[in-house]
Amino acid sequence: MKNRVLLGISLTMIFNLFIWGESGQDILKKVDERMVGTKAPKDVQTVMSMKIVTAQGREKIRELKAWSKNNLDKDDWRVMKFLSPPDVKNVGFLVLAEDQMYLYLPEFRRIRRIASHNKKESFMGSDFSYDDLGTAGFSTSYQAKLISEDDETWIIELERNPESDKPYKKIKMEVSKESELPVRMELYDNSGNLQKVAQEGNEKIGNYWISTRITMEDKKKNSHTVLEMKDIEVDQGLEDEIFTQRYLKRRVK
Amino acid sequence: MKKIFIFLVSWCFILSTLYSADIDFSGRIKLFSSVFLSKNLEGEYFAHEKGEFAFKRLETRLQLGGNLSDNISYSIRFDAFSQPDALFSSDTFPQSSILGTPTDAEPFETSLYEGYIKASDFLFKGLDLSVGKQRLQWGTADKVNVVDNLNPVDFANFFTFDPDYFAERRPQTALNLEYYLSEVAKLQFVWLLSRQHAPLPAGFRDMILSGSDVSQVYIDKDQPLVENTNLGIRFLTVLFNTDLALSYYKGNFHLPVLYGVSLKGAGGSDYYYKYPGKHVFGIELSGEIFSLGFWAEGAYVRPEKIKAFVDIPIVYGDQIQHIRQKYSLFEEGYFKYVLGFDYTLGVGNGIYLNAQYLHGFFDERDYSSEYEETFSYSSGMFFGEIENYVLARAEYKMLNQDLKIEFGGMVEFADDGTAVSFMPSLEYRVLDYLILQAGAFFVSGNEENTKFGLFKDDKLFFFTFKLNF
Repeated sequence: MKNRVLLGISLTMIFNLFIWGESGQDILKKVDERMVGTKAPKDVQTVMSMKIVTAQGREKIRELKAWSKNNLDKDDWRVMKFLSPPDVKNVGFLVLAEDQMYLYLPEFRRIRRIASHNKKESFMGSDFSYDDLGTAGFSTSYQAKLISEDDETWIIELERNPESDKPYKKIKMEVSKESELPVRMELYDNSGNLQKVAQEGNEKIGNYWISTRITMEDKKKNSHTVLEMKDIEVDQGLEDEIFTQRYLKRRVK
Repeated sequence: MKKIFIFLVSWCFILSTLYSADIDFSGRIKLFSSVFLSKNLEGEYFAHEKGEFAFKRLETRLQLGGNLSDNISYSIRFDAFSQPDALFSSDTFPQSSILGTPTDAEPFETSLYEGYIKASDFLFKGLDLSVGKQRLQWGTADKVNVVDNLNPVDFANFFTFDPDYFAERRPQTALNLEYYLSEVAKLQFVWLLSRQHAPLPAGFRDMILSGSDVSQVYIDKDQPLVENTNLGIRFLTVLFNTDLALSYYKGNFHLPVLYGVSLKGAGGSDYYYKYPGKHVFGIELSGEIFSLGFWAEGAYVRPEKIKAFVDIPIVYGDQIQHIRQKYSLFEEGYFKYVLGFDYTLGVGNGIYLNAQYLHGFFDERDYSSEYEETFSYSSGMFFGEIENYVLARAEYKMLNQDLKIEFGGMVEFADDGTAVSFMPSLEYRVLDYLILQAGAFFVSGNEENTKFGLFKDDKLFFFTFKLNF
């Protein structure tokens, strides 16, 4: 009798898998694997160009140098240093955990700790928030369900876990089946209104798929920011000391 | 000064070429103007008509930086400005504006604001050395760092009420060693090559001399001996996701302290000032609780034991002799502290709130009670007794952070009164390189018994133009 029950459960599971394919949570885990898991680069070094286009059509360009390190057992680490414009050159941003971020202000030679209430704030006037550029990965903060799929993409809907302090209540994510990375995200605020739309262009660098161009559009402000990555280097064996306050103060070349 | 400037600029370019290193070149041009919005012809600090310029100043800043090798970098900043310390005139006190009169046109000065060389992994891995005139990081509070006794507060510019100079500190010539024990722990040792003195407003000495019975003012400064140099030690780490630092400073008060008066009868009195020594033991914390950012600094100040004196003349026969009465200058030890928090309210683009409770402003000390009685030093006056403050500000940014609206304020709680200072301002980034700022400073509250209440009739409007390149 017991064996029959087990056989029944197994058959039902196989049947479900056959009918429904992968679950939304499975797809989200694939995304996380690409972003911060074993399929992600161990570390990345890149130069970013950030073009901010305001609602009035004014354009502002910022250049940054960025380093990130993928820690499988804890939050990933990130460092960003501004290269231009002149008044923000050498301003640095260090992320060690969701609730441990530092901003270096070279004018005062001062490192300031940023509390997580700032995460929703715009990052240096762009349409990205500190959280958008903070630690990556979704599956620990969201529950996903599959909405639809075609030959090239899955569309999943992410609902924020009750205990999570992530800024977006809901995310509608279009995931490329080839790269297993998001290609489009609709980000909804706490009231359920569409706040931002992110469109991502992914490229294969070495053995890894990486987002190399992200356009973040703020639907409320009617502005958008294009973040492009160039000179990307992966798995360079970046030392841990890059992700310290000491390094944050160093002049960037 | 001009020759030094040209020499240093040339030197940087030559070195950069020699070492094929890149060089950062940046700077700023800033025009700050302020106008009195009220008339005050009998003010203790300013005397002016309504609509009179309070301050007009052009500042230029030139910065050079580069790497001489992978581990060695340099940074130089030159400031050139029109009478940086000329808040008070040197002749007829009080006079609010030097540049307001054509006869004093273009009295520019230059200053080496900062100039140092930094060697990373100096001698061994993890040890960084920076030598030269530099701004040292000490303290975690927002501007009102009670533990920071290494960088004196710039009092020369404090009374301009230019927000850039509120509680701004001056770099010091120092040898700064930072040893990174781990990724989250650091030991810092700073050796300051001289006693430290906060720059005072021009005319400060005249202001003291303008007292009714003052005939001479003597300001004692320690001799430039090795034994009279200052030092600081600081240990930083992260515990339970909270940044923690412990520090010790051996040095001196940055502002002069009146420690002696020699009464001369009809001939006025001689006043004696000095910069007493002190030891400061500090603790700093910063972190967050439920996404609310917090910080705290505490400083236990142990001043040098000094006897203040009053020489009283007495007629003995046909001769005048002096009797010296002595008093302890300070209490044996006292605390200063600051507690602060910040939070962003989820309204619109987010309203940033920042508030701090401060016990002990930069110029305040805990005098002995007998000193207070004899020299009439109390809370509610500059260089007076310790009192309490609440500093707060709210910021709102719009138009992709190009427009910033700020409401800043400070409440002063003195023994016999309260004063509230307001500093609203509006900042607009016209271009990436061009910033316009306008704001006001005004005070309400008790005029007689508070420090900032004295400026009740000195309402100001200011306008700033900044060009960064």
